[in-house]
Amino acid sequence: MRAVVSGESKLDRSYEVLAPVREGTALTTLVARHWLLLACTVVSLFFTLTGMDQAYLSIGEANTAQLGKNVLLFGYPKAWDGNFLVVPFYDGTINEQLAWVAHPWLQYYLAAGGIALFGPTSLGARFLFVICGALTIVGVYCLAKRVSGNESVVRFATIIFAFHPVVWLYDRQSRYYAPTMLLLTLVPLAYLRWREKPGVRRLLLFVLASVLLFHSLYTIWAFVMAGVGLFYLFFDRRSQTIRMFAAAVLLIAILTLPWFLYAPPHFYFNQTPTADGYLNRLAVHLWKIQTLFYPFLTLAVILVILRFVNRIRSQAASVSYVRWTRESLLFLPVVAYVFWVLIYPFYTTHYMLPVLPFGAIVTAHLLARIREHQRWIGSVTLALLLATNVLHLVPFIGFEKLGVNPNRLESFLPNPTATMTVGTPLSHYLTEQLKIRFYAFDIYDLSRHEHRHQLKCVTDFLRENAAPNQTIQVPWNDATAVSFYTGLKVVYESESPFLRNERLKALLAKPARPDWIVPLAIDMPGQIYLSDLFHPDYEQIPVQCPKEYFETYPNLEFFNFRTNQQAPSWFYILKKQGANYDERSLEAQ
Amino acid sequence: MTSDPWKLSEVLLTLGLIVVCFAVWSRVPEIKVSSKTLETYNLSDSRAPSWTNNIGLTIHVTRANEDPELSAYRALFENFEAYVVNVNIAGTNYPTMIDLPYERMSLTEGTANSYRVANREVSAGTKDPKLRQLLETFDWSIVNNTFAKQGRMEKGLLLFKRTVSSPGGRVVHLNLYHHPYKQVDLAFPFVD
Repeated sequence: MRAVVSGESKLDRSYEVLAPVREGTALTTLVARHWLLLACTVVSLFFTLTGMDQAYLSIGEANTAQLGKNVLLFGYPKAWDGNFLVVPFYDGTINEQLAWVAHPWLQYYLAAGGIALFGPTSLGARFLFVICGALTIVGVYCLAKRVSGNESVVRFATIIFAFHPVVWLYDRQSRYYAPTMLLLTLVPLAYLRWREKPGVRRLLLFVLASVLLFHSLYTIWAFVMAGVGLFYLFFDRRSQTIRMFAAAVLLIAILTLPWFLYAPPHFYFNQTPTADGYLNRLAVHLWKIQTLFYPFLTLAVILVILRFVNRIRSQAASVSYVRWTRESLLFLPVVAYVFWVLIYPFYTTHYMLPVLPFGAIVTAHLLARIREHQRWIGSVTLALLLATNVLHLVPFIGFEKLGVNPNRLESFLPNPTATMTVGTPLSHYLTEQLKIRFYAFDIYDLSRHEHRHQLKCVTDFLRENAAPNQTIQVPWNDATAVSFYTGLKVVYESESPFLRNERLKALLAKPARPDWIVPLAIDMPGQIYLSDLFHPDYEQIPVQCPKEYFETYPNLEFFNFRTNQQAPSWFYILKKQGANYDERSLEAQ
Repeated sequence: MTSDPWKLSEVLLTLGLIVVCFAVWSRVPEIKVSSKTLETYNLSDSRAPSWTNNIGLTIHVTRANEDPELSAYRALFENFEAYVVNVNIAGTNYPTMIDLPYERMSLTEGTANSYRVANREVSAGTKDPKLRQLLETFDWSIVNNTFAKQGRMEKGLLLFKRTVSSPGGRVVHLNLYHHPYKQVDLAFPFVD
């Protein structure tokens, strides 16, 4: 395989087929040089910005959006706006000043910025996160250049990341996902720029990126900081720079660590880290990475096979120009994070989010190596990677087709779609859930068709039928979203064993008979709504809309891209009959 | 920076394959890999046929007039074809969330006659809260909450308005939606 080794002055030769660079203004030269990056960013923005209102804010997103709204009112993410308390998950979620301290605050200020621009809408809540997502493509592009030094790797990484359906899905959510991915690329980039030409401005950029990463997601921040620190000590330590670097570390520490005094870390639903079940969680999440993010295993196997075939054909070993540089060691903190975070006993896919930007570069590296062996296999692999999940599923398809007993595989090949709790058995995944999908086209479809789902229908119904002075009881998982979209008085079930704070409980107090109830048996058994405790006082109004539980759940494996026709086609909303009743007697009952 | 220029042929091959995938997707948005299923019927007891997904969900259907708990409603059963549906969700580590919409249920008699459930009409006319619960149970999703692991049992009564009774077998048809995986058509045959 012929490769061109070029310096910057000869870089243009690499574009001889696709984009001949013409002399022109600085802008046209810039566009000509980076046309692929620009094209990928524009297409990605199209997919992430269009149809923003198709899937309403899911629980975590709605919390961010409501807190962003409150930032505009109070200057900080206050959980209580005088009308609605953002759904807390455990005692430490909200502090004595009613500030939300469950997560760092960067995401709430981003949500506030978007809402200030576009109002309290899905677009407003998500806009700046989408912009962060677009900028991450630039970050991946630049980082790939730094760590690979190979034009094919840079191009593949940019395309793979910019067209990744999970990235699209995460970028369009008002959560910490997109800013975290952006900052994960900016921190090593800023560091590498500084070590290349040490100066105060470059160092301050590194400090800024690091501090913002902390205030986006401090778990990954700790690993990235440790990684950069070790990299400096092992490879870049110089007597001329050590004081500057130490000053940067101190500044970062001052601007980050006091947060822990203000907001001591807590655990979701008070579940503490545990070694019990760690190996199962590790297996599940590694397979999540393979099946949903990047098919590392399949690509590695293809590469090994190609090398083997070349060897038995006695072809002379060609020189590979696709190599890892020392700087790629800066990816290792993400690997360490993956192994560490799983001491936490949950199974949510987005915990693996830091893998996405770095994984694109690793995938690009493997793809470029495959292409070095066989260009057409490289082309086919890239097409399948972008358009389908076939490569992701190859190991599961293989075992299913070979007819291997799933019970024998379960320990190292569990169902990768587990979420929150352990997933259904592997046998169920193989026989019922295993499907070849075309997620990129599904997302395209999402932006083109009206998508009806339960939360959207509930919101529309209440906007039309509920009066501003009425109280609406909503299942806790949708309560913040309904409040955000309607501005109505929304309450939810507050009898949580995780909430012991009496002040919060007082804020969560709800009337015995709310004017409206959006019932879902996920909150209460259906018999309660059927019993005489409720039934005589409420009119049951059927709302024609799919009844579903995973409607806008933000992870790819359960996301509904189109109106769910298989779920029941209606659900009840309960309306209180009349106003003349004695609440005290009902409470006594 | 090393580089190996892309040839037009490899770019066109990639784009062409993506177009082919788009064409496939526009006809079949998802392709199920396995032709197997874990689901099985147990029809050995002709008075209580059952179905299970073999991961914790079992549904039994019986004739209502054979259920001792419902003996108080025998008179009602004279006017209807009445069946009891028992849904059993075993305690597991994963949630089992299902719906059984009444509007998708039916009773077929022989090959020609098909009856819809009359639960809503009967429920609207009754003042008996227990009967109402039995008739409306499946309007309320049967949920093994995401965070709960205990099993649960639901019992519902189905009433089909009898018009012309003809001898021969009857089949109770249910349509199950197992959130978020799939919709399943179930058929429980009964012979006289």
